[in-house]
Amino acid sequence: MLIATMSTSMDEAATAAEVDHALARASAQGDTGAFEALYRRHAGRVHGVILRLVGHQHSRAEDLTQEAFVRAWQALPGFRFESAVGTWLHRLAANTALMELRSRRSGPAMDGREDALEEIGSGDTAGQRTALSMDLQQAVDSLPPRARAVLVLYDIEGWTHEEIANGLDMAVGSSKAQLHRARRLLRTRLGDST
Amino acid sequence: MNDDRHDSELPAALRMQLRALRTPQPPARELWPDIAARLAPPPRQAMPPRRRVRLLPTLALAAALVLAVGLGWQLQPKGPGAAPEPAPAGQARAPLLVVADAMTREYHGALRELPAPPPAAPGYENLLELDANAAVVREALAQAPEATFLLQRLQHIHARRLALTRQLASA
Repeated sequence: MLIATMSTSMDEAATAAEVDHALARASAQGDTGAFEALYRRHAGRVHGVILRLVGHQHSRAEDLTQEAFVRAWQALPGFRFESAVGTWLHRLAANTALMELRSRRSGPAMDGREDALEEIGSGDTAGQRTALSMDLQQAVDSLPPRARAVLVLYDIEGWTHEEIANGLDMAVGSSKAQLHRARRLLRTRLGDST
Repeated sequence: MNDDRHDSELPAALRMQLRALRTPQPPARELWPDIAARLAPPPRQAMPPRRRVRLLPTLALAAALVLAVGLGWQLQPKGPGAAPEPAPAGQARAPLLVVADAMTREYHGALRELPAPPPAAPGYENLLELDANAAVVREALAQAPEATFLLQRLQHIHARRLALTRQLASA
């Protein structure tokens, strides 16, 4: 009996992609119910990447998640279905957070904060090291914003330096330099002297 | 996926721990009402040329398909294969049912673009069985609108139905 037949994981993956495409098409035609379903299927991933990019500042991540979905709604009529909807949403979410990061970059407060944060973990006494040996997620969150963004996108999300440079409006060399800096700071903050 | 040429900067264990941080994290509060309040009707766009081209030559075939499939559905107890009924006015449908509705519309659209196999074709009864199965799953989904596996089953049946229709039509 067909109903008793079990799906393979590949079937299920295909199902998810096809359901997403159906929902995206309906959303693009103005169906807010379909878009709500799309939101509920992807809110976790979208909010997750934004939360990591903003260093687990929850209120800011929630605002950016809203912004990302509003932008997705506006962009869906132009979506060409050449990639998975989930991948597209994930990329759009990250770019929404990066856009905000770029806009903050020009403010003096951000530069000052980066300098201040740069000093965290740079000490080398035993007492400081104990205090700064922290959970990996907390260590990532504590990185300076640009360095954190590059590390999150490269080491966690799997982006290339070219993609990061494009998203952060910087040179590829700057992305590589920021990654090197972020990794050095991360290891210091984790108490790794190797 | 990036091509990490700076592996030596990070121990392998740390790189794996970082990758493991890539997990979904649902927002702590309900964001949908605020999002919904900001949704304006999307700007109207012309249907992509590729789809328009695909639809035009299939209109006649779609009419034949409606006749053929309609005959099959009449043999079923509750009109299997029929499009889902809309929710009563003012009553919100469960998200999974909205997904099922969208998926079923997509399925019917795809079905309309296929040539209709003749009812006398060998294996035609399998189409009817698939329609009956789809109806059973839709009814079950209406009673258990949180059951994701039912949605997956419905999609699987739709995929089988489309593949078999294509196969019978080309035989």
